Amino acid sequence: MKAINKPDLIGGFIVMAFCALAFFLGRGLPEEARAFPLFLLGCLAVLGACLAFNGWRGKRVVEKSVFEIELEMEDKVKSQAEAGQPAEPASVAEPKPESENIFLIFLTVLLAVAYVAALPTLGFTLSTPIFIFVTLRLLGMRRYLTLVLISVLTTVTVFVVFKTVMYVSIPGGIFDPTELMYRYLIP
Amino acid sequence: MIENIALGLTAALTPWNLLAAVASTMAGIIVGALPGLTATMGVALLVPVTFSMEPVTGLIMLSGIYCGGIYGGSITGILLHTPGTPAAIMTMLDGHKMTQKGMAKQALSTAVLASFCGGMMSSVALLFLSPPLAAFALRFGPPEYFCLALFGMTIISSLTTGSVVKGLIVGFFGVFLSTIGLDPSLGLPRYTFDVPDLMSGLDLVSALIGLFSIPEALSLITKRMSAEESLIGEIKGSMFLKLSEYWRLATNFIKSSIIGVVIGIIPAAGPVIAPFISYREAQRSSKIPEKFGTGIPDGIVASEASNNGVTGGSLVPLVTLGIPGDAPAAIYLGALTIHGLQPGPLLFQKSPQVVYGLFVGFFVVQFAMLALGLWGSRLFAQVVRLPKTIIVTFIFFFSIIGSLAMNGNVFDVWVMLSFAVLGYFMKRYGFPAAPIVLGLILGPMLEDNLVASMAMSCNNPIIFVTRPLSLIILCLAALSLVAPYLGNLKRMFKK
Repeated sequence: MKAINKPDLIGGFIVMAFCALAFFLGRGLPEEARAFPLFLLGCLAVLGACLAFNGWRGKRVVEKSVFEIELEMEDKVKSQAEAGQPAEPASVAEPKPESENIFLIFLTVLLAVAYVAALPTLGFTLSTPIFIFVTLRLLGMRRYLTLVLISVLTTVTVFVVFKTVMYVSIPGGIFDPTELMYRYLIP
Repeated sequence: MIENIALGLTAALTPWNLLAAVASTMAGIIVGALPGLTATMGVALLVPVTFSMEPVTGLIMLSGIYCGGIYGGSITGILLHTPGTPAAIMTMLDGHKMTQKGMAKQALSTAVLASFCGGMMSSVALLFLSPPLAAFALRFGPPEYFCLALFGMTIISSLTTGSVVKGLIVGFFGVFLSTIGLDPSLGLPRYTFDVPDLMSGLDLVSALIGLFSIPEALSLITKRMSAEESLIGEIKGSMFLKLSEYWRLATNFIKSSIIGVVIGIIPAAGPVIAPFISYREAQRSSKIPEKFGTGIPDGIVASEASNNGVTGGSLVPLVTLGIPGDAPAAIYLGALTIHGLQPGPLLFQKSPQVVYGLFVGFFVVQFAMLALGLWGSRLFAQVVRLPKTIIVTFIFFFSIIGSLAMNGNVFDVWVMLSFAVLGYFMKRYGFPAAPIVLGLILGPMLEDNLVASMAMSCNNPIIFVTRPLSLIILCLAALSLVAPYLGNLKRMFKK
């Protein structure tokens, strides 16, 4: 018996649980409004069961990575090479193991969430430079002068471009230089 | 038709639009060249920017990024053995070998020429196939559109490269998500949890930005870039192939372009699948199949011609029927909606300057791509030197600001972030992202037309089979469902 494909098994159950939850939440609606979503949920539940079942049976579907495609080509080329051809240099790059730095990813997303949450209150001009600065620093950039420069320049450029060229509305917040800008920069 | 083309010419050939075409193509090439940034991402991030522009300008800019992006991936693929875009994987196979043989310049120029050929073919298809298709679509009523949307959904099963079950789950989930909002028959709010922002449903472009930009950025955080930058300095030799070579490759150029256009027209099939198919076909019909993969221009031609052929092809069903040929085309839908335009035959009738302006602009973009590619390939390759930290940060920043800028609504940014997180987990556990797009777009088409069809036929589902057009489309849908299994059937019978 093959090893259980746990992610798929759990995934299937999550899908089915979602269907149950959505079904429960939609109970209040009359039939015509509910019909279509309910049908979809039914199909989803069946598919979730299939996924869980396949996972339990240990089925694994692997998408060919670029590396594997290359290996295939290399093999084909080698098997069809004629005697007189010069040897091709071994050029297939080893697949570099990608360390899943989940913590870093989580932090970056958290930063993005914090930025968006802060936008209405702190405003664009204040939160943006902070966001860019902290994110760049978190991801490894060290030269503080460059950090500050990039943060400030980006904020200013985007702000000016959005407000003048594109008339986009951006949360002002406490430090909103829109008034100042319109009074001094724009004749 | 001629008057419409003239209309398109006047709309597209203004100085401002020409500048937009060139600038966006250049941006597209850069985005495509950067590994980790995809053409889809570029198009998604650009849509909010087009908000305040004229529709034609906006659509031309999207086309520039789209076509440029699809071509740009070949540059880093050829020079640095890393495809800038998944579409360039097959280009990289022969392209990089050519670089190792010292023929990098020729590889690069071949890639541009092939992309140009594919792009021109798709522009021609776009210009000449769309009007008749739109006219034909005038005969479509709700039952036909319902079956068409159904057809679009069945394509998911035949084109998912990984687990079909997962693809279907994602597709159905997308359709389910599209039901959030007011229901079409009674106008009652569904799954809105008293949040007023949800009454009109989830914002499509924000969802797309979240799904296609951020997960890529997140995986960039962990990826190690190839350290073969030193190769950039070693490009020498002549730029073009011998004339006889081009003559030999002529059939390849044309056939691969056509394959690309056809695959582009089929919804959900896109620039990633097309190169595989055309590569295999070129190899099969070649006089030197054993040399494919050793560093011959044929591989590059096959791959690049078809992946650029997809670009215009994917816009054909979008513009005429509202069904995108692949992910970037789906984003065009968002751009059209922003300007209050709806794809379909009415668009051709009411705003022909927009449609034909796009068509003409598409041609312009191809020429821009040709010029930029021939002249500046090496320059664009330097782009890889940009530090990852900056790339990731700015992807996040522009995703956030972009989704904010569209409606000035912070809620859309939360939608974007939610889809970003969802997209990350989907990527990690092998769930394809593209079917969600199809589901989100086709969902309303399915339900609205189902309700209308039922109203037309007094709740009798037989209407779908009694109307001839609808029946034909249903058969096509059934065919596409079983197509992937036909191969298995054949094998079983042979035994």
